[in-house]
Amino acid sequence: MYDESKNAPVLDAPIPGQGLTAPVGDRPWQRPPRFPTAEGALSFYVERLTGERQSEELMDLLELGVPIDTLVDTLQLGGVMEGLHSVDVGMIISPALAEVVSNMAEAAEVDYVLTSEDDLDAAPTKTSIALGLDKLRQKQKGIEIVDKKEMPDEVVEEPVEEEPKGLMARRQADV
Amino acid sequence: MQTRMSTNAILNTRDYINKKQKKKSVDADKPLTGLLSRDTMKVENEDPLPVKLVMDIRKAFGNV
Repeated sequence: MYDESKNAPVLDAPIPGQGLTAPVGDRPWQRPPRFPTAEGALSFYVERLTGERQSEELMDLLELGVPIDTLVDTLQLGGVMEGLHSVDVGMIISPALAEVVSNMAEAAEVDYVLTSEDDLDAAPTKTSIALGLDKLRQKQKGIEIVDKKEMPDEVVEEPVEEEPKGLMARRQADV
Repeated sequence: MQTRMSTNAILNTRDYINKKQKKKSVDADKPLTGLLSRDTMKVENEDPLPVKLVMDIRKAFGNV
């Protein structure tokens, strides 16, 4: 768990501007994609997924409880990084890819989870527990700070005599 | 960010197909009359590409 007392600097993050150091067109996703159409990209994935070895691996992953949407995301994001298709095409084919995987799972009689949102109600995740604990800590800190603050001395209010109101009211002379 | 977007794409496509299937069964009983009857003469509205692809996959698996 993250320790607040140790404010270790994050050293594995990219340096600002690092993404601009490579020449344009050097990265696969900066070149024209191999499959410009959604149909082409989908048939490429379907061929790869339905292979004997790949499908076995896929079913193993589903049995482990990996949601289909996570699998599909990994697949299509990898495709974008390799320059196979654009991000847009990836978005368009992801529902169809999810359909392929779910149909394969049904055919193989493997229980699957479609989206990671399915199990949100089931049990709290480690991250949600950590977030909850953090909130609690912050709340407790807030209470302590309020307690530690010196309360101002009570100001004794002097009773103020009410002046008579109205146009014709006579003011009392100051003594 | 992108993960959330494609999850939404999957869910939205499923919702669209489900709604369309439900709507069809209701509309099939009502004959269109008057100005609405012109709808039959129009070219049918095409489904979005993700929906088409999902339907193709369902057909391929014999799961329509």
